[in-house]
Amino acid sequence: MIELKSGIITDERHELYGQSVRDAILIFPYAIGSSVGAYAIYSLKDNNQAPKAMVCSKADITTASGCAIAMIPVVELPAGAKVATVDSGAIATVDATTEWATVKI
Amino acid sequence: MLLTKPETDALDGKQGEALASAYRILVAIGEATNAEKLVPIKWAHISGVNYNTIGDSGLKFLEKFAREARTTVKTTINPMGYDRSKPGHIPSEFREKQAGIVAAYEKIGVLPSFTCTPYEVFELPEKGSAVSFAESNAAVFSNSMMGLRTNKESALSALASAVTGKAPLSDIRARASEKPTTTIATDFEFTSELDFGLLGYFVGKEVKDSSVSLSGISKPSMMEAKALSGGMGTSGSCAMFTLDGEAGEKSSFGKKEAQDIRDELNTAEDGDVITLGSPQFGMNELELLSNLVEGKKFTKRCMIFCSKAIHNQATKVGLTGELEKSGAEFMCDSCTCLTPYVTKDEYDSVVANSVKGAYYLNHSNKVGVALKDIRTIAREYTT
Repeated sequence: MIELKSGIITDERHELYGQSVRDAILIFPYAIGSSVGAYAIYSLKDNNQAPKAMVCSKADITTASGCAIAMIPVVELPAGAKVATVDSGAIATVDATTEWATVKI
Repeated sequence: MLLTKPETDALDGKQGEALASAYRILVAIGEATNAEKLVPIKWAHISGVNYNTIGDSGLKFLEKFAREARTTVKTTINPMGYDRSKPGHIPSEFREKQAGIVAAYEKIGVLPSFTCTPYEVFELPEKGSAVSFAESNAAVFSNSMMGLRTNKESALSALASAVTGKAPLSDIRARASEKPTTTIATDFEFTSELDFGLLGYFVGKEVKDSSVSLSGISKPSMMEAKALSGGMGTSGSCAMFTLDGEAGEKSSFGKKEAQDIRDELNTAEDGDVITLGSPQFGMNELELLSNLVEGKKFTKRCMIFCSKAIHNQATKVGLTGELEKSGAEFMCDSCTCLTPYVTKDEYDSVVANSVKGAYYLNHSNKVGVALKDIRTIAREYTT
């Protein structure tokens, strides 16, 4: 869970608790939760707190539709790629201008 | 994904910015779910109506979208925040923002249904029809019990389908006839609708596919299937259950698993107020409750959430009058999830009969929840 006005992760059980998603490249396996999560992504953008890009193992309907409206690039990793090996705080770049996006860590 | 010429033109903005954004959403989710094309749908059901769910940014988005966008298929919408005839302590700011959201949806052309159980309020299209339902309990219930075909849509994808009349041919819509690969086997006798809700929540956490096969339970009643669908929709991405138990990979839902889910969701011993619904109550639940509390009075405030359509039906047969005699209050057009009727300032904890309600009361309203089934609530909280 993220506080939408500040972009700060408020779920105490989350390993990134207390950190902001603003201008980050979010790397996660897939989204869970409510159908209104798409509006949460849009709200982050509207409040200038949105991540720069999202990279996930499986792009789901909530993430894809929210990012489509918020104009946030989403990169789906090829099957089998492991996301758990990336350290939080590592510098990453995403080039999603073509069909095959490039993610550099 | 292959688009037709008119679809490509609309995506490029030749029919305005609203339709372009709707097609942008459909293309994004089509690519995410490996759809080959878009197909016509018969019905869209949109979530994101309660101001507590979409906030100021959502209102702003809808107001802009409503300038151009119009529905092209039958479109119904989820509950809003509160019953406009019972504003109670709801702040005026909430009421104004809520009115703005409702006005925007009405301008777009939706039916003002304010229900999360459209399947028991509206006439259904023929079996096998493609639809687009964002409310998760409605998606699971309609796929599993009514033979409709929807993916577990998002608020924005169902809105895009409402104005384009189309949805990607993928996932459940494309492969509904394929058998699930996982069976969840139940090995104890269920005693209430709450057990079905706990099973649903367990399935959502456990099964990453879009469908699941269940065994060890008999065909659920309307009330039980609603609870099961609500639980499944809350915790995961699984959008359909079958009752054949034939899938190869097996996982078991026994008493221990049920207790673990209950321990996760039951966060209080008792509550200051009772909320009934999520999914909203239908005629079955109202009849049952009315029989259970006949001639008795609730010892705590009891709010029953249902749609205006169900309330009208129940009033005609005298059910609402009976329940009000027992002290219950009807909160039409709204539901337990993210309700502004329950705030931390006013209540420490709530008694609820719904797994989905318990999850959102706890995570979003930040109050404790005593999770009990309808019969137990009627027994413990009336005299």
